[in-house]
Amino acid sequence: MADQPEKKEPKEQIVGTFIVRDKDGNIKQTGVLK
Amino acid sequence: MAITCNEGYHQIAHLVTGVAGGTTFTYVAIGTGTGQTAASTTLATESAASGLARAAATCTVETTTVTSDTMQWYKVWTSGATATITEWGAFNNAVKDAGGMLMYAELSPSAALVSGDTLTITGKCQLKAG
Repeated sequence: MADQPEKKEPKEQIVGTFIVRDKDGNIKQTGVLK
Repeated sequence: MAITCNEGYHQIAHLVTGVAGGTTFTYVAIGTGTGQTAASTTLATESAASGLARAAATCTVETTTVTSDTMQWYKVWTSGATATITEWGAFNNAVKDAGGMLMYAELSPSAALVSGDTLTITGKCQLKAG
């Protein structure tokens, strides 16, 4: 009996980015959309 | 987890073929919930907080692998409130919780905002074969 093909786990996709800035324009935080 | 929503496939098929029933996805929204699925047409908890409501995005076509294969939505929100933003979506309607959702994604980590902060989000959807 043939081996069953290995089941692929769904790949976690990054579909964007974000930036939080304070009122003076300084970067407080960065991250991704996934 | 980033997903393309069922309504997104439906609307894209209509837009590409010219068959009536497709509306362009030019709005973006953010919210404070999580866990939406492909069947969802709204965010879990769309924000209506000051400065953080659904709005028109700057929409462009970008190149990731093949020339002009990627749709991009860019938006800067200026917060008038304290909020922890956890989710984002692209929509074909300007009204909160209305219309269809093309795609959904969660912010990692969540974005912690206080009044006066800006949140800049760039979301992308690449067209691929297979």
